[in-house]
Amino acid sequence: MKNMIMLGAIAFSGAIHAQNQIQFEEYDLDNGLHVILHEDHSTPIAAVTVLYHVGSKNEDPERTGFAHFFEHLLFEGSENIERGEFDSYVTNAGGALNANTSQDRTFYYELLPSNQMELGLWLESERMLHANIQNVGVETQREVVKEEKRQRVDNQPYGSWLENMMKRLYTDHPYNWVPIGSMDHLNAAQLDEFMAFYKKFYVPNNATLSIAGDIDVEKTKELINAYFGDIPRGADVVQPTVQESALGGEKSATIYDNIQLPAVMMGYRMPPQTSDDAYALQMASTVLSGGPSSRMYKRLVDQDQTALQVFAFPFSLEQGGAFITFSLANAGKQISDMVPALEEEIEKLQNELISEREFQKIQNQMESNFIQSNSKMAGIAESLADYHTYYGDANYINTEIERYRSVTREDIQRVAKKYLVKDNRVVLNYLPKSEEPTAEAAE
Amino acid sequence: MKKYIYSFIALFAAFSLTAQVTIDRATAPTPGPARVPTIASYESFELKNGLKVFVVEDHKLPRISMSLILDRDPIVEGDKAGYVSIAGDLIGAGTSSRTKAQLDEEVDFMGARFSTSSSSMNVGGLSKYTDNLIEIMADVLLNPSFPAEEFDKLKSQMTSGLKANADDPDAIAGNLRGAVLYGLEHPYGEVMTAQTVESITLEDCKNYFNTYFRPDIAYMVVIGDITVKDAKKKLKKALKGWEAGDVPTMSYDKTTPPASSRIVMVDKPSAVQSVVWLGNVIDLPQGHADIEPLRVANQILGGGMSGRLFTNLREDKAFTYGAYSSFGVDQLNSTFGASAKVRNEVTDSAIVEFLYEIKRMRSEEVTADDLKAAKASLSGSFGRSLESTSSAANFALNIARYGLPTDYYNNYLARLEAVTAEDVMRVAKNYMNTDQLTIAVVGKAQDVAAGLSAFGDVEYFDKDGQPTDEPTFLFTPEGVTLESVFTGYYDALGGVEKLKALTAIDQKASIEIPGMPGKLSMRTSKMAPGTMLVEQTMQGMTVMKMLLKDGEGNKSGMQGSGPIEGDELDDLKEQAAYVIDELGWMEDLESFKFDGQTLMDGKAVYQVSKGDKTYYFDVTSGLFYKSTETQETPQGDVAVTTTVREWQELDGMKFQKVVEQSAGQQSFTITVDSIELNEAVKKSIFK
Repeated sequence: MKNMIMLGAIAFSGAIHAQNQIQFEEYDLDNGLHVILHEDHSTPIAAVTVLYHVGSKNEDPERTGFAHFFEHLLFEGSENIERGEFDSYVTNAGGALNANTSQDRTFYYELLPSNQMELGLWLESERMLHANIQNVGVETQREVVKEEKRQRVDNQPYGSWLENMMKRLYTDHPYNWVPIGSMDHLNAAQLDEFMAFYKKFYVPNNATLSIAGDIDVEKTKELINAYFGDIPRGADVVQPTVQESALGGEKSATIYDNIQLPAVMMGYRMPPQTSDDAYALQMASTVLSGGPSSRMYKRLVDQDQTALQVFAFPFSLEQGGAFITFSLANAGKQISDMVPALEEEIEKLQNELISEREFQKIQNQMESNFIQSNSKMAGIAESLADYHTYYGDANYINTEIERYRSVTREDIQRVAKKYLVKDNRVVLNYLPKSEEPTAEAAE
Repeated sequence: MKKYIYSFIALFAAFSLTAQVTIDRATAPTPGPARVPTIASYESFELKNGLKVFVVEDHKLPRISMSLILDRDPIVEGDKAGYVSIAGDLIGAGTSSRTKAQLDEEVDFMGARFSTSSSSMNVGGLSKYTDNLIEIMADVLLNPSFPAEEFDKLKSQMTSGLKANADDPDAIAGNLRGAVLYGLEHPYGEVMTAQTVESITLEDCKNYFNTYFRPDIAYMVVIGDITVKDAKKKLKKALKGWEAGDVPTMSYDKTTPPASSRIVMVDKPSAVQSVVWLGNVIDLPQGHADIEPLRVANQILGGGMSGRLFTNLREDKAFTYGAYSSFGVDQLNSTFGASAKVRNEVTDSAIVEFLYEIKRMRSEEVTADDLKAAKASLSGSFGRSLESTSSAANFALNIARYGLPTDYYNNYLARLEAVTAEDVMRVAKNYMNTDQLTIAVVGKAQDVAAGLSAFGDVEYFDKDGQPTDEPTFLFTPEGVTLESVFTGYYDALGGVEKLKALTAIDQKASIEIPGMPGKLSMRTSKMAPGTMLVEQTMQGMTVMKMLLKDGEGNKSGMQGSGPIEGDELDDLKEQAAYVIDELGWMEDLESFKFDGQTLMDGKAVYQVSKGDKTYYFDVTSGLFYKSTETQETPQGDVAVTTTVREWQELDGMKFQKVVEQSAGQQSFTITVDSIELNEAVKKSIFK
């Protein structure tokens, strides 16, 4: 009883602390490069980042894996940076660097001691202005990317699930394939194709330069102008506008993998990440698997004990994405032991409003996550660039919480009914290879 | 007037030009003066029950985290391996006033986190919930209820987790490394299995908690939006009922490296990449003066994307997505190691490169540039780590746990700066071992074992770190045929041309037979074409002699004398056809069959059979390695095995030097003491 009183007190403890506002300045250079600057002197470091609005969804279906492959190539050097020196400049200056590629964007960053911030500008402007793409780099990185795929996908239990999911969930839309792409396509690609890709997408008008940390804003602006100002603007980049027709019925597939525990993944098509419905689905996923008191976790892991792990999460992308449930069977349990409970939990969301208390709980969880995010410069620079690119408003870093706050219980029920339906989903059954029917038995 | 205006404009323009930043794209910009990063300050105090508390105030965001850390000696769990881990989870699974479901609900409702492990407890969330979080932590510490149903659940989850890990190459590599470096009886080497988990009882978990969760061996680290004063007041009140205990201490002998390098492997037939680790245990406790030099050496070798390993194995050879080295400092046993995940076909080549780079660290002084770059990189990384206030807390904790000087971390950058190239080479020699290494591979033996045998005989283990038989498989590698195996063998011997050009050979060997006092001598001599002598003597007495000359065979000795006829004569003629009789195999290909590639004594070998005799050729060297056949004797069928242990070189050709032969229980060693070739062989001996 005492505990319940305490919980009541928490629920009504009044307005939540306002998050420390992230102050920033933003503007466009004449060539279209968008610049965002956030000044914070707590630690003498600066994050210099460039986001290019190009990901695997911008690829030719016959050349998948290009955007990610490109990310590797752009560490090879430039007119003024010798092959292999991109990294050593940063490391030797006491910095760190890396990059990543998603369906929607390619993101490069350097974390530097703040007195070395200019180095980041030099490197990134070189990358944008005249990358040096040569056969030796192409051949080397082809093999490196194959090793990356072996490490992340082929040699990893369940590692192929996302690829298997997306290729069934989307047919015409380029979300059909994943960023790592096809090794055959990479093998077939010629040097001139790489150059064409660079010219098309690595232009200032398709990029956001976002810097956060111990910087002097005015001085930084001058430097940015000097390093990036004369990079020529490119042709406008047109994002794909493929209209995918409705899935039109459940698709399912069984995949035999090098695993011992069966797993089932259900993926439902989602609306674009900026839509109201995507926020409602995010809240729905928190009801289902946000923490050990969430519905699916409590039901499958704690009560039924059919699952060792269960997650529901929105894999939100610019033009859609997938609402995923991932459930890994406990030893001795089968997929058929988990699926009815997973479906019941989804149906419950569709048939009943979540309770006021549960609603309060997921709101608290959202607030807590929001307030505690943005504690590091690298994350702030990245979020600012993301929000600018996808929402056209970098200030979402301060206001996005409002989108969650505006989601109602009814919204959660409505999106569950609209999206989390069988006609809109793909079910993947992962089973141990030992259970694969032999060729004879299959005939 | 106009003129003046112009000059005014010109002056203005000149002004703005000087104000404008100028850059030179051809060179990297020079950095401005560096700001030295500062370590956040902390305060510490001790509660009456012995709990030592560290507080780092950080009011930037309205959040707080509290971690309890137990400082106990490592534990050997034996046939109950896993119980400490289950106990750690079970502690957080309910108290006398809260079920697990209630606990979960409360924590989630605050949007907070709460977790327990065998030696820690962590809570975190918004600072407005500080009191609630402390209350929950205290309740769990003071009143855990150890519910039986939660215990059963955790046990079954642990068993499932083992199954989930059974196909995870990294998990297997972890088991293998621990078991091989430390042994299965050591706290760092023992491996949890379904059997050990099955034998864990609820009582084991309760005992563990009661024995080890004691404030006098614990540290509490509080970070965030709280004052030291508040932290003290609140913790004092919440934890006053937590009693000190008599916590047992354990000590272990330091593990030493193996006498010579070992190559160990877990066969994972489905693997498309090998997980490779090579390294050794080192003697390097916390606070040791060699830590910074080793940090610099490690940075140069494999600390990141600029490291030699990454540059060599990825950027130059494209063997891998990443290759790194690292060392872990631990009070009981520190380790140094390097690792990469590489595609099957380059597994051995990758190891060659690892060894090359490690040896280079030991034999060549690093350049001034290398040294400078490594120091800059490490200083930068230290600076970046200070962005998180938890770093300051970790430093404080380490100072207390390991008895380090209070300014240990403040002086870190100065110690780093003082490292010299000589220091780097000295620590590389000391800690980066190349002749007492453990090379551990998790991968597909069928594809990689051939290459690995070049580093020594491969020892096989199962996924739980238990020694196991070498895997059995027989497959036909691409492009390998009977002819290519024979050609490879001839090439390894010195090449067909050279072998065929031999006109005569005279080999003298001694044979040691266990249990026999005297030494048996054997002479095998041939002269092309078709003359051959085999003679065995003991203390000057001829035991047996066979002579083939002018197409006729004769034997003499203790078992009587007379002509050699029939099959025996044909056999002798066949052997005498070439000075190196294996040259005849190529003319008799239809009698042989190439069975495929397999493993023999840890070596990858090609298997060739002729009737009931089987030959094995070393895949790496191409040389004949072993043969087995069944011989009929009056005592029944006996398995006869011949193994070449050592080869010797003469005139650019290889000849057998030490051969081991076993027949049934009997075995003996033949050592070839002298070989004469061509003109040196006298015709007169064939009589």
